[in-house]
Amino acid sequence: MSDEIWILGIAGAYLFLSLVVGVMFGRKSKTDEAQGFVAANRSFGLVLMYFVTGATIFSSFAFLGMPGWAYEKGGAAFYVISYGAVAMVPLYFFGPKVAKWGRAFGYITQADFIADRFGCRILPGLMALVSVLAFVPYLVLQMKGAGFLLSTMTAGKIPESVGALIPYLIVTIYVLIGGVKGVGATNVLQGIFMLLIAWFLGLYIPWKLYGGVGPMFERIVAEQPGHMILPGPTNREIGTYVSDVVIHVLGFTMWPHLFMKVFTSKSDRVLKQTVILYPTFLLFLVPILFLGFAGVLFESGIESGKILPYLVSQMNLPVVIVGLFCAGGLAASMSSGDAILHASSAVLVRDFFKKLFPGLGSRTEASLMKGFVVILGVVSYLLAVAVEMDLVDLLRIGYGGVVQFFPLVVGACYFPRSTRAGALFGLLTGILLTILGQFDLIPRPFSMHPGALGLGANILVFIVVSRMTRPPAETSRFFSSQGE
Amino acid sequence: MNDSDEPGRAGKALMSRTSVWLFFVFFLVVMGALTIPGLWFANREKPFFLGLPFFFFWVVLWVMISFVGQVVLYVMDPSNREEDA
Repeated sequence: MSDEIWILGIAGAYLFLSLVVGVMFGRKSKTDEAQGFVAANRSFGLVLMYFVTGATIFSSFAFLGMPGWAYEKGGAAFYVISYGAVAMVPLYFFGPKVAKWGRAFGYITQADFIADRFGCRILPGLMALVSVLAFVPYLVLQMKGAGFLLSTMTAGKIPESVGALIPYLIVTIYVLIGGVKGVGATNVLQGIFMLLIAWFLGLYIPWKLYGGVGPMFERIVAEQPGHMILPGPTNREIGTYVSDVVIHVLGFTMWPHLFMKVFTSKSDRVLKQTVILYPTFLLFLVPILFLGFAGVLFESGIESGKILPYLVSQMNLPVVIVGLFCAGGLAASMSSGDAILHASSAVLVRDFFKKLFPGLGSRTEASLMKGFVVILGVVSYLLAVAVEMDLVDLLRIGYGGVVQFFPLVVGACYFPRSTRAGALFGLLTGILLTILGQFDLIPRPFSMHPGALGLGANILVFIVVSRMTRPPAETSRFFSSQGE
Repeated sequence: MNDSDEPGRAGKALMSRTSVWLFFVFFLVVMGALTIPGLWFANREKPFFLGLPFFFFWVVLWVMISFVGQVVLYVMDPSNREEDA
């Protein structure tokens, strides 16, 4: 019996378990109507909320990309943990407000809320386009991660195209059947699984190679001074690092798939508890970084995204552990991929088509969303198989685009004086400058993140134009009641 | 604001608003520690703590502080106690 069979067996068992959990828990969900498919009729308790927000974020990037950063860019990799420490906090402030309005006015997506608050149908369409453009590379990246992992760990016996296909067939099935409930239930399983595997490998591999985590870092600092701090081996400037952290903190909760989980939460208490518990999820990233650093003195010149599979396959680990590692990587990919697939179809239908054709019934809407789950899944899969491009760069532009929603949300929640024209022109300016900055068509002071440039201009335009125009007449229904 | 509000409720609302501000200030403190000015101080390899180089340790430390601080602020906020009761 060859090793590959064992590895595939374990990965297959995990995939089967995901399918069972997703279908079993999702089945009871009322997904034939939009409210049920997208927001599970606002029923999520703390456990589901904790894992759905946590596991969603820990993606293929966390499992493959982060160790790659630690290996190649050294100290610059800490930006992920740094922003994670407070990234959910904005939700503590506006989350309960938005959830309350969601209950009162029936919102299930981020743009639902923005559209209604500013009385504008162009804004949600624009937001939906930006979101989907940011989502597709994100999803393609997850699929590529899964394909790469399965192919590497089976020494090429499973081609990447098949390795990406099978996990995402399963994702599609449980998203279609269970909607957000299916996503939530599987994320609990995937989250626990990833945490266990990350900690196990994160301690085991440094111990095997260096005799422990402490001795490993002592050797790295002694033999490659400067690796563990900024600017690090790739000369990443502090300005880039700092603006990366800031943009991610402000942009994180703006991702539509995360933002809309506000509407799935059972109560404000659950929402706030999800926020304050979030930093504990970061403990998953610490051992993942250990793994990347373990590669530094072990072997040089590996392509950064491949360091972790390389280490695992080189170390003659027991085959069960390799299988579990493989399953953990799939869990990381799927726990983000499912939420992105689910959210992008919901956003496209709800915020784009429904605003064009307001007469769309709730059942038709849900059916359309399911149709788009399949369409977007197929398109992303074809891109994952066919296209070789730098997706991480696209994702970075995506973050720059999504962070432009921040002023809209803050303005909508806290400034009754903010207007439709202000929001619209602010958003357009922000997106334009982000794109120009990304392609270096305009100068960027301190090598800052292009999104930071766009965000600054966005806020400025938003304020100035809002002052010159009148807020929509119905604004008072958001602010007059109870003075809360 | 409503005239029939008892003083107790108004006081609670004020405390609750203070809590929100405290939370916001805490958020800024953690951000500052992890970016500027914190990095000016923390961007160094030594000394080691818990087996980690200083910069790494600093980041992990502030994740912990962020967690504990948020829990404390949440528990202190009176508005988190009445709801759902």
